[in-house]
Amino acid sequence: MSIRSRAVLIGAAVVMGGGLLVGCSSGSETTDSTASVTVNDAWIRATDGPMTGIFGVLVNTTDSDVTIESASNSASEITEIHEMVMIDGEMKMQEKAGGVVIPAGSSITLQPGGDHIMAMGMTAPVAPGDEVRVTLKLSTGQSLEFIAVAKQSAAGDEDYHSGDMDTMDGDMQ
Amino acid sequence: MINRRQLLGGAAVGLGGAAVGAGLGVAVTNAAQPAPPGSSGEQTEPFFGVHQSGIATPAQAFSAFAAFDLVSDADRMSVGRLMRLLSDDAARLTQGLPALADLDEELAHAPARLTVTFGFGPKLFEVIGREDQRPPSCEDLPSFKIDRLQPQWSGGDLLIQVCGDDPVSVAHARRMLWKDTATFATQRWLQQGFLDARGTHEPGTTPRNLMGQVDGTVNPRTTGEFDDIVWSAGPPEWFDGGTMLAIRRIAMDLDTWDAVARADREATIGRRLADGSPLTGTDEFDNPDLNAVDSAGRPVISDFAHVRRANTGGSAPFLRRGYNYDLGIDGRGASDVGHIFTAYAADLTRQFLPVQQTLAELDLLNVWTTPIGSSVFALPPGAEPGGWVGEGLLS
Repeated sequence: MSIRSRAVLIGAAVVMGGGLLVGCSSGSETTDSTASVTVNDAWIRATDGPMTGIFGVLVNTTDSDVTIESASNSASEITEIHEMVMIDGEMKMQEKAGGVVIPAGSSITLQPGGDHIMAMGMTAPVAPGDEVRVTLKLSTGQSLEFIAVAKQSAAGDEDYHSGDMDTMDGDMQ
Repeated sequence: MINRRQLLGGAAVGLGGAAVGAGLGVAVTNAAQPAPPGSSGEQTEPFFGVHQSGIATPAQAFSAFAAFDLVSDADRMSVGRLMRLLSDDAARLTQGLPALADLDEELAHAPARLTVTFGFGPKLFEVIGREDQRPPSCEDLPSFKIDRLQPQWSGGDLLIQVCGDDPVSVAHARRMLWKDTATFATQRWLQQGFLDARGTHEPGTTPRNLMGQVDGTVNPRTTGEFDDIVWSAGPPEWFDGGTMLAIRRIAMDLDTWDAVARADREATIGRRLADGSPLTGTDEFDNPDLNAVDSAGRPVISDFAHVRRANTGGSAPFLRRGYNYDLGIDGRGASDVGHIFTAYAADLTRQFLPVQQTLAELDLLNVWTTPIGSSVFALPPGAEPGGWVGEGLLS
């Protein structure tokens, strides 16, 4: 068994693990064992506002870097890939030029306060426990489709709680 | 080149640590599992199974019973979403893995036999429009003349029972579950309890309550006894493998109990304080001889002793898995101490009510104990991997 095929199998097992916990548990629905990227523990922040964040762990099971070039989801009109950057001493959110790179044989975590997928122009409120379908377009030409479960979370919403940090765009993550 | 350890380690750094361990069943990195090998912290109880854990599970040292009222616009769909979220949280947390979106993931890493058990109160069946699916004994208990029930310790639509051998693990799980419950229900009451710390006594030792009595001798212990006494076979069909729970908060008047000498304390209960043996026997598990008389012809176990009044002829009528509580001193300067009494039974009406009625009529223990809270919940059967607790009722 080559190193590569072993790695792919491990990647698939990671996804299965996520999916096995509970029926609605988030994770990739892709069962294609040739998938180059798998998703684990995907979730979307529940919201009745105009935008929200989508998070999770992306695992690159190949020996080359893979870039997430674009994204879409079933709950909003617009989906962007965002990063948090320090500008003039303040954390600001901005669209990530060139998309998110998942290094070969590694994983990245999309999380509040860091890189994340941004859903904008929500078509309906996302209630806790709802399931949202997310599709990522990869630089390999493949699409990765998975379910993100909605959870109530204030994480990254710092400006909501702290008046002296009112320039943070936390509630938009 | 991919290094398997690096790959697993990378995934484990984030929220994803969770599923890696669950899916592969391998040891992951230290960062994901800091409870040292061989410690009680790393021990786990299963979440998935025919029955929910936390019932037949040997009682852990700490418990938190939390009851919730569903919000006014709750319905079958929303309760289903709630139970999927909570089941996922419990599936992860009980295995030492952070919940999804868990910001305090390190607090999840030493589960120490954490269990999470869910129950549905009588009104939930009305809310979801499935009153015909309510197990027959899932209804408020009748009132007893000894009761001094307080609303803040009674009732509730949803029960989340969290038990574990580590209080930090229990606190974290409770808070995580509460956060995911917050948009669906409001907390009605919380009863936190404790038994002996893990390792203080030989495993399997019957615990003592805060009156000093060995409490829980007559209990189902074998799988067969649990099948006969605790697990329902339905109807309703969805309840096959579930159980009913009556949870009663029993305040103890320890300040007047202090005036009772040891011999009178033993007469009150009908058992010896030293080892819990009946006054007519030598071993904790000897059956009390209710016909035995002393040299003067008086019953050895008095007419109003607790073991006589509670006796159902040898076999346990239900499972007791109670916990002590101690809130210190109340506003009047008295001890705020007692027992979180729990009766788990396939059918409370048939198994629990007759005993409770007899004790309410006459039991010397009633002098020093007062029921101040009472709730009844139907505890669904367990979930299989891929499923969730309550699925048979709510989906």
